[in-house]
Amino acid sequence: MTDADGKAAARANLERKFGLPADPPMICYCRRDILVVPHGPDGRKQAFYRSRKGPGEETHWYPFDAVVPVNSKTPAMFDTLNYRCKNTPALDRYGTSELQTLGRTLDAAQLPPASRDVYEVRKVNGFIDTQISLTANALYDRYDIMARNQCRPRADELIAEREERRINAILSDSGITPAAKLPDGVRDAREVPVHELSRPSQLHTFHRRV
Amino acid sequence: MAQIREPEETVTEALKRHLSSSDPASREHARNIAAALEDARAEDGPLDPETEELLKLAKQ
Repeated sequence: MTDADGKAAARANLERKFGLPADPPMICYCRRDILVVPHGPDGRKQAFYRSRKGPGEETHWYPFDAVVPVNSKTPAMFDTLNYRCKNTPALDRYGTSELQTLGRTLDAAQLPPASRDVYEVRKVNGFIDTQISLTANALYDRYDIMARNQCRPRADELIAEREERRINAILSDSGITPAAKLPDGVRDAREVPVHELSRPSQLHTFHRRV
Repeated sequence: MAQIREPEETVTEALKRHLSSSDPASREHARNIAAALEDARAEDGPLDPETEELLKLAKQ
């Protein structure tokens, strides 16, 4: 079987078994392509991302649930937790043999890169559109509440400009705390620094005086 | 499939919960979270100091 035959067979398999169209909707977030398989092995929607290519490395499609905050200082990572299997290395990053088969079929399909970049985590989680991904957005709402409570009106402006300015999350300097601990009232924002974190894992963090 | 992180938890909140549990399954979950965090670090750069400390605990 030629490479082209293998690619065509994989794409046909994905469409027939999992309902993935030949030209599936795809977005790119943090240099990773993301798609949602309509009917995963358990019959539910399953998100996958294509790993970034390192020097001499192949890319692979891995399952994940959402983009979630690690904590206030590292505001975004791909949530692959449910697919890690340190005790079964052969399945690590896939979770089950069924998802491994699906991931490898996606690899074989050699799908073209996503044509649409998305910069804001809520849009990524909205694209995935599962209960887990939409609940993850509520975690990001905590950041907004905190920033708005401490840095109004600047926080409102930044939140409104989030997509245009490629801002992931807006944090007040004191960071995220449980909603119950939010301070009462709204402080004057002019002296409070706001961090704009535009990529996961603090790769690109800068401070802005408001 | 086990739910390692509750939907309302951040990753470090989930890791702290598993690290504070004596349940062997939680220890395994902590190791799996550590693996995911190490991948995130390898692909996207350094993690914050608090997460690095938790990672050390998870790997013990």
